[in-house]
Amino acid sequence: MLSILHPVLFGIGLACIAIPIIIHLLRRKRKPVTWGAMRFLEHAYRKRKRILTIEQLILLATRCILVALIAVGVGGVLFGSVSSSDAPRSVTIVLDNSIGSALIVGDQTELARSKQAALRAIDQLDASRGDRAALITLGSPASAPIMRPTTDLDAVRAAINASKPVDSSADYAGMIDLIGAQEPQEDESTRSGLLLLSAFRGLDQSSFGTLDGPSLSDRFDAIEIRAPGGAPAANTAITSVTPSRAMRLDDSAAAMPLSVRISLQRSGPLEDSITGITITDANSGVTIATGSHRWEASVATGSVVVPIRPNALSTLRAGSSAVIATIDDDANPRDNAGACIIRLRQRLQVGVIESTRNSSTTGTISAATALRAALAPSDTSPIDLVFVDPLRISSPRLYEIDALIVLAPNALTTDSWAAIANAARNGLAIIITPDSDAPSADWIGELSQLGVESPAEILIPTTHDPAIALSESLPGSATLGALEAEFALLARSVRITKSIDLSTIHDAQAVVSLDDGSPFIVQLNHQQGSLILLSSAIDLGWTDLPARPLFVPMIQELVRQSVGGSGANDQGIAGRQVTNSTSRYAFLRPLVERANAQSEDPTRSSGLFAALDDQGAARSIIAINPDDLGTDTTTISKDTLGEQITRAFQFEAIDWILDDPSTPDGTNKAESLAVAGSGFGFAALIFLAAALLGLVELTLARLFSFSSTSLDAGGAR
Amino acid sequence: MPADPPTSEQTPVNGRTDPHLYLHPQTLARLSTMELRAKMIVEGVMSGQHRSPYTGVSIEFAQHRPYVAGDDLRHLDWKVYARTDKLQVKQYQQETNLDLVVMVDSSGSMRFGSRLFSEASGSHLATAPDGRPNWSKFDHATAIAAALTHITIHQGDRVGLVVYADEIRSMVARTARKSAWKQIVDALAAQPIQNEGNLSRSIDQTLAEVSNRCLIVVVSDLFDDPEEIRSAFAKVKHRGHDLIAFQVLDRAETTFRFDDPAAFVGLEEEPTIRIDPRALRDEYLSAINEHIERVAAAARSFGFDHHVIDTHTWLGPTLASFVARRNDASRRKTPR
Repeated sequence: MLSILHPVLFGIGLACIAIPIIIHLLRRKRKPVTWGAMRFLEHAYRKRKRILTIEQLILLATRCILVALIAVGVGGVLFGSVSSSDAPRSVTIVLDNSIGSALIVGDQTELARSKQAALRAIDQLDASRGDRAALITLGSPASAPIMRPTTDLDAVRAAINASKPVDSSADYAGMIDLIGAQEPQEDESTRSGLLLLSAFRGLDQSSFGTLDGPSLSDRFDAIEIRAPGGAPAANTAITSVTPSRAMRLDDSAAAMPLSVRISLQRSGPLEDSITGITITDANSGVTIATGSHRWEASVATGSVVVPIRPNALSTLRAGSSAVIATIDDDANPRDNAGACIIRLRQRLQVGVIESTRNSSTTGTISAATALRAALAPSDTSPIDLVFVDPLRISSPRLYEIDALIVLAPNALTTDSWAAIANAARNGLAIIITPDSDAPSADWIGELSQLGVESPAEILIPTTHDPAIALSESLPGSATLGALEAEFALLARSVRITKSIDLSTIHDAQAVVSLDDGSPFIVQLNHQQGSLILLSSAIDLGWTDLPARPLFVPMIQELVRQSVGGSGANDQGIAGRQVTNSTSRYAFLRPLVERANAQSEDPTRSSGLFAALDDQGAARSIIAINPDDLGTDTTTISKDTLGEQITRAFQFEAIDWILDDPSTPDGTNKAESLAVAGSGFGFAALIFLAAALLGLVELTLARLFSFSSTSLDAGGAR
Repeated sequence: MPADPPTSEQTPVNGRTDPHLYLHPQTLARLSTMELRAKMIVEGVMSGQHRSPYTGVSIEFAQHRPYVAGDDLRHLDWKVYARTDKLQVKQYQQETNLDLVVMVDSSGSMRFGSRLFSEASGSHLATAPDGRPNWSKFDHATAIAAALTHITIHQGDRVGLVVYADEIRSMVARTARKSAWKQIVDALAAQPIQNEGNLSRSIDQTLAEVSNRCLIVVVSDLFDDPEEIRSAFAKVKHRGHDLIAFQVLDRAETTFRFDDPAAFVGLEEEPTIRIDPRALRDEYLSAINEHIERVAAAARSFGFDHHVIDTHTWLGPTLASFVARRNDASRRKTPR
């Protein structure tokens, strides 16, 4: 059924159709003129007939096109939105409240602009007609404050007004999922539209390339997108805050210096500048260190290491302390802070699994002896070595220790490996060396229980003749970062006589390499814990490492760092899944004090959270940092964005919304909601063309009809 | 020129013979004070106020000339012969009557008129006797013809009338009887027909009816082919007659003031054409002006007078100025 979407426009269209008729009626001679001097009139007519015919044809064509345009324009209003005129409209508003929306441009944030556009769109809806709206927020993970389109537009307004920037990046994939989860419109006549309101900063050519959702053209009749624009704002973001060691033992404070590495990334004008950095203790709020980073022009990333006094740290919760790094305020205040957790321990329980045969060896330095000398040389040492019988391994027994050093993996049964894997899931740090006297490493296959994949079930040790030296440079792993300054000197004297090849193990990160480049020590992050594999047994028949100065600090660092890293999924990124066995969190404090911080969503906002166990006790502290992916202020062109969205969403026609609704260029549809009447814009263009053609017709008619000819000129005598 | 105000002397419309439709008393009053004199002295059988160019038996001596064989001996001046012994023949200047033949065009094109009848006729009549609201070119032509014949009859000269279109439609033989006036008015009251005019044929037919030299007055729009008009004028000249051409045109025809597109229907069965007058005005005016100029040139080439008469001007002043000019010309040309 046809109905009029825009009565005024329809009236104008009808009036336009009447124009040529009125002109015809006005110019029409009601009675023919009887004429005596036909001889001369015929002569004049014959002489100008051809020109007149051409002129009349031009006029006729112009008028026909004029009427056709008007008809098409009116048709656009009537038919372009078939069943849309009085049919209800359903608008899904996608509001980008990601961390990038906190960017302040001018006197307001990008989110504020998007909210204004959203509210203007809501104002165009009429609940009494059945118009509905839903609201999806883009901050990762995308959520739907109002999932199902509702006629309660006040509720939608309230939800829009309540939307705040989060610290996570935009989750377009989640948006697609939520849209896909929306129930289809029951009424097929309902016009549905998507209003995507984002600043679209920091996008690159492939930002939408990975989306694999349903085609939005199947879901919506129209898509309106806030046009990107504005200049890139100068903004610096903390991308990571990493302690030099994740765990600190009390007694080693003086001997083991502590520092925090702050990685930075900036966008906008890349000029020479300095970014000041402040490190505070999260518990006391006291500034414990300061630093700065000097930016050179055109450089967008950098990092700075700020030393801190270990004694300045105080326990925040669950035996852990947290440091918060903040940088100078800039265009986006939400990415100026980051935190890291440093666990404080009084003592460590390190379990050692060795073969009975080795432990009874005399005359030589056993691996256990070497370990004891390195880790617990005295009773006052904060590390307690506990020797575990490989045949009596149980989960409760393993829960009591912080780290497990397996010197005899061949001695473990499958059940033992299962118990170790179970303990590893709860944060047990594991260090494994080959059996010193075993001809082959049969245990490699058992590592699959720890989630380690290796193409070989058995590894045969390789004898190096002559012995091979250690590489004097660290491959890049931060595990032995504390030894970096002295490592070359210490490693120079070490020789490796026999080793197994660890290079085939997937996802292994080399901590120490041999001189030929093959890994000597590798580290794997498995589930909750840390796994370190040595390619040589702690045996002089394999390597002289136990007898070298490097052995003590290396073992100390491996144990401490692995314990610090194990079970220490204590850092996360806002909006991303935190890998932790705990699913309950308690908000402790934000990284930056701000109003209403207590109510912030732990999955989307940065801050310090306590991971709770089933009884509600804090098991650990988690630092959730802002997602730096959403902090880039670089703008993207409308054309590029249009191409990406068209390709990603499989939607051809996109209407752009400008921030300024008073823009007279006709592209601002925030108020008109193209979803409510896509025929309107088309009809408006047609009517504009018709008006222009009407002017042309009037000009031609005046020109061809000689209406400007003076009647007083000429005349017969 | 605005119309003269009607007088109280109005004669009710009475069929086709009401002379007041054609001769308004004011017009006649103004013309009666003047003499209607022909440009040339025509030969007449009746004495009158017009001098004949032909010498012969008359009461006024003109001159002597030597006798030649064949001369009438009665015209020999015996007194001169007695005194000089030379044979001289006396010549006299005869006074002649003016034979006026008025030819009125009644072709279809003469039906056109854009002036209101009530305004043009001088009476209070809103329409013509046949119901027409407009004052046509034919109305104007008959008024001119009536005025000329009225004056001429009252001067005692002979007057003939020819109403023609494609050929002579009616004719009143030359006569000086005042009672012939009613005949003339009846003939003039004939309605124009839709045939195309043919001046050349009508001239031929008229010349066949006159033997002595006449002043022929053609009252027509002269929309004939200019070459045919020239040919007709040549025949008149060849037969020794004088001619005055009154080309009666409506002001709408000479100005073509139409603003709106319309269908133009011819009065002589021409095909209807739908035009925007403004688009053709320049071409039309150029064509009609050229035609008028060619007609005037043709008349001038034979020593004839040609006058364009606008139907929107009152015929009295036009005739008065014409008669005055003709008399002046006659006096300059004819020694007394």
